[in-house]
Amino acid sequence: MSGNQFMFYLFGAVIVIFSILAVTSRKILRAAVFLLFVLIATSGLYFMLNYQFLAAVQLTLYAGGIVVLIIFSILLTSHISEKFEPIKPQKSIFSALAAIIGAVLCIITLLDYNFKAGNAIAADLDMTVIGKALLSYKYDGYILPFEVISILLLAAMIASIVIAKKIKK
Amino acid sequence: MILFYLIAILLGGAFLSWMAGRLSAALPRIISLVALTADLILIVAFVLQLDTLNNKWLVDLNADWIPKFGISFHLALDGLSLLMLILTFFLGIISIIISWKEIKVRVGFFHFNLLLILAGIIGVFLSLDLFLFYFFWELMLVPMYFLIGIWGHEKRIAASFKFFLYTQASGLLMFIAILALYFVHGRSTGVYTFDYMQLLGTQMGYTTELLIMLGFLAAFLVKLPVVPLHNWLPDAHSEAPTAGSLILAALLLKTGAYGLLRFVVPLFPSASVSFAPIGMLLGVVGILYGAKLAFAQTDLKRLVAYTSVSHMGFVILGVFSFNEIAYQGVVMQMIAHAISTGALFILAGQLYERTHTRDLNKMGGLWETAPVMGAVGLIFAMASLGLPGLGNFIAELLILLGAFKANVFMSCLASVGLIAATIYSLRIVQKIFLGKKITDWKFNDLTIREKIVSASLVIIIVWLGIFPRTVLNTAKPALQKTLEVQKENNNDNNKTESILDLRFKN
Amino acid sequence: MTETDFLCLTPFLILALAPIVIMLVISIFRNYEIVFGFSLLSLILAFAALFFIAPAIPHSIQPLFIIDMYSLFFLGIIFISAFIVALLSYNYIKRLEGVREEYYIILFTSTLGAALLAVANHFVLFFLGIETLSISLYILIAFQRTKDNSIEAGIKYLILASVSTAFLLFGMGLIYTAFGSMMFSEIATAISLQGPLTSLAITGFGMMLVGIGFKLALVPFHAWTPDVYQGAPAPVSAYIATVSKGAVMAVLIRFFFNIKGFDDHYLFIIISAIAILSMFIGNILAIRQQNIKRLLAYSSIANMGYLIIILLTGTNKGIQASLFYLISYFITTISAFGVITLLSNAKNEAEMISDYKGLFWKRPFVAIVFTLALLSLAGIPITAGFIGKFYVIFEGMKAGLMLLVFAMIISSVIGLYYYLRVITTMFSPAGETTLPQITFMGKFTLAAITISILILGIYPGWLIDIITRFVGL
Repeated sequence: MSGNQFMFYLFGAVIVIFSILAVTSRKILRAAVFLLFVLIATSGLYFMLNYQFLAAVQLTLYAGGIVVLIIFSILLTSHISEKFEPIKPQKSIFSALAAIIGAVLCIITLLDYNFKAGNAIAADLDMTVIGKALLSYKYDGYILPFEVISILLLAAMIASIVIAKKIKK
Repeated sequence: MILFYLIAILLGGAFLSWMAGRLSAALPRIISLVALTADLILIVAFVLQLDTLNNKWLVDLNADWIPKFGISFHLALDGLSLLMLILTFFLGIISIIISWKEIKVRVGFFHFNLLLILAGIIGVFLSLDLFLFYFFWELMLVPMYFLIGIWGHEKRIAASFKFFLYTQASGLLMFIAILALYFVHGRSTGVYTFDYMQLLGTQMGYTTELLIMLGFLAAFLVKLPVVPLHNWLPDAHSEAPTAGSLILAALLLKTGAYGLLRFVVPLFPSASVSFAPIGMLLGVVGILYGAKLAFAQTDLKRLVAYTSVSHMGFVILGVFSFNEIAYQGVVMQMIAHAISTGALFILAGQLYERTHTRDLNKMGGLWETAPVMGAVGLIFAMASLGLPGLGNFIAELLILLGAFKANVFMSCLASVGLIAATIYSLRIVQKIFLGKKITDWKFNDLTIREKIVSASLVIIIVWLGIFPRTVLNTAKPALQKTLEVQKENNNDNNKTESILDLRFKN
Repeated sequence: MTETDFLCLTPFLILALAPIVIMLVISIFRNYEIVFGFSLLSLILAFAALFFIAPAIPHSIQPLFIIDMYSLFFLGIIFISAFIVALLSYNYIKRLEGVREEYYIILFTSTLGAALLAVANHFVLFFLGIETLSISLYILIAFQRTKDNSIEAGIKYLILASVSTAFLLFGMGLIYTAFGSMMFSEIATAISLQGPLTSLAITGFGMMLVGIGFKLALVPFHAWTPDVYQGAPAPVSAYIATVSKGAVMAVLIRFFFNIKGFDDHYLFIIISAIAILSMFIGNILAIRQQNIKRLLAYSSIANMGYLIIILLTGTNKGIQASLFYLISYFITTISAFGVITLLSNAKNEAEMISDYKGLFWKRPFVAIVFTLALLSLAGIPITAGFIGKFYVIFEGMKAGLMLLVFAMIISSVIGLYYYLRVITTMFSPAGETTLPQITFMGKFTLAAITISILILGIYPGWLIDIITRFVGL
């Protein structure tokens, strides 16, 4: 097993184990911390694929930013000692079954598929290329979806303000 | 255009009486009465100015409706639909007069529904476009549902549900069959149309024909009704207000019979012939089973409802006999049954108005109290059992004669029904008017309004019995044509099949 | 970008500009009436812009947008529906506690998301459109946040929508793996070159169907529907049932017909199964509901089941049928929810069937509107719903989908039962519940919708002609 392969399986194992822990943990703060490991391991996979930019974004935004935010909001709004109610065994059996069937189906189709290594150079894209493509208004430019995203974020922002604002009596 | 006006007058009258209901209770009644009388006069005047009634179509109206699908607004009148139309208008007027005192609440909306049902019914009798036919067929349902559900007796909600679900489900099957016929015809000729005239003589395989016919039969046999599918009828009839029962029994059931004559027989010549034994059997079962159940009822309206099942058994027996005598009997039966059963429902309504019960066991000895009512009841009970000299006798005799030609065994079984009819009819008279007085009812005999209604019905049923020729001659061309089309296409199909056989052999 | 590009984007620019203007207006002078009026005006402008850009189409802005007659048609019905929903919301939202003007901002962002779906020709825009729509819907659903089940509905939709989006994305990823493109037309070309679909592609389409099925509330992805319909403000329920579903249907039809999914054996079976399950489960579960909003939710599940039969016809005529069906379903649903909206107030939602007891004798006008809407949902003649169903059955039979047509017939008879139950309640003797008076504007809107239901039911020829002109033969 080459070093690369070893790292890939390591990251994969971390993602799988901590994902399961995150959704089964009954303490919300722990779940958030487990999620952190999942996100970090994912960024590791990106690094292995040579997607430095994506990996950096994943690390700074998700692992660094969002998880911290989640932890902050947990600390501010609820008691750490609070536990989720245990899920009814019937429900958990059904969902486990559905998940396993889904996973098996996916694995079968993926193994079934004859993946071929592409001949694209696995070089990292220059940041400027990404930035220019996103803001380009020429043919094949992505300015329009970029603008749509801005509206999407606007909606999300207004939504969170509306939901959080105090009602004046 | 006259056909369109007939429907438009009813629709206009319906809306007007609804609106007028806010002003006063009498206004909607008058408006409806005027609308129906106008229609009756219009159609009679129109017929009188015609030179001959022998044409296949007396008047024909054809306009585009949804041309993209080949749907047209095609109405036409022949002898058969003419009779049905006159019957509809006449009984429409009667139903308004009899509900003059019975309906006290939401008068405007009541007459709106009543006229809408009648508009749907004459639409059914006139349409020669299958899509339009289905449209009118369904148009009758919702107002009838309201009529039962709002102004009916205690168990009205359940009854109205049953009525609606039964008829709607079977109607949808017919709808599928109509579409199937449309596509079969379109594929073989390249002309996609719902027009009845063009769909006549559609070439199709035997199985296809049978399946499509079963779709049509589903709707018509439920409406008629035929025994395994009759479940909705006693509830709907007994829970509806008098006018509702009258229209259900006298007109709505006839749309099923009309559908058999107009659509099933000519459109599916060979399949209907092969279905004939089953059809006749269903008819006989209906006659006997209906009579038996009628005999067992203690609720007057339920009893009359089951006699309808029995009488309609004769209709289906006649339809599947495929000869002119039987068909004349069927038409006669449709009209005579409408009058006689309608009259019995009116009687039940009058009794209920006075005694507030429909239970036969609580009545008895009413002849003394109300001799006129008793006499009327006796006449229609006699009509129902088929006393010679009254309309029903002619009808049932003709049907049995016709059926005898087609199937001796069935015809003999069916004639047993006549005896059963005697028993249940006499039981009505015996239980209500004769026998011991159980409760000391005190009420008035028929009022003048009610006397006029009863007298007119009596005159008609006697007229039908003595001069059946008026009806028979009017319907004759239409019936002959129907049988001709049926025979002609049936032979055609046999020819094509035999040609195919030859090819196989060679 | 060229001038034509800009021209074709006018309706979107108007929709994007409107929330910003409203925000500015709110920050200067918070006034409900001004915001309301401006919203209506913007929607009218956006609709008018469609006529303005009509000469320039078909036009595509590579690689994401395609603006053709088909998308123009969907944009039209999305804008009109949003307009009517906004109109009906006036009193309902005005009576709420707390912020109210923001409702219209979110209405615009969600309409923008829906509109983007109608022009999407690429997974990126497909995804962005769906997300913009969903994120706006989360807040619209939870807008009445003082009520418990409103928040519950919002959270339920948030979580389930995120999960379904994950499926959608994974499916897109698999399809990208299989065909090397995210553009609908390029995927279609790749499929025609490669021949029968590989299991990878079918898994991909299946995953996408999970995501789409969730948005359309098809069985087995329907569990959220009754709770969300119940918890959301009535006009928002109408919005979800019409604009949201219509837009997703627009992209689904375009995608499915592009890739010719009806030719694939497995996809055919999957879609048939989903359709039949949706019809039956929707109609059967609706029977026992006591809450009208839940009842309409189940009814919408069944109706979407009828509609996706069209996917399997694989003809342009089938698309025409689906457009007609959608229009008739839109006006009918809006009419039904419009009645609920107008009869509700901030404290008391008129959502139980018993609230409607004897409505006909107290408020004949509203009761007739509601009756006609329910009859139209049930598909009884003289209403638009009948012609819509007829059209679907017609095209279904033409394509030989007899099993599906029969399933549709049988389940619609089951469905009849609960529609009748509501109607019967309205016509039974009056109950004690007092319902608020309806404003003149509300009456006017309802009357207009009801008349259009009747017109489409009695004389539908003209609309069919228009649709034919938009979709072609």
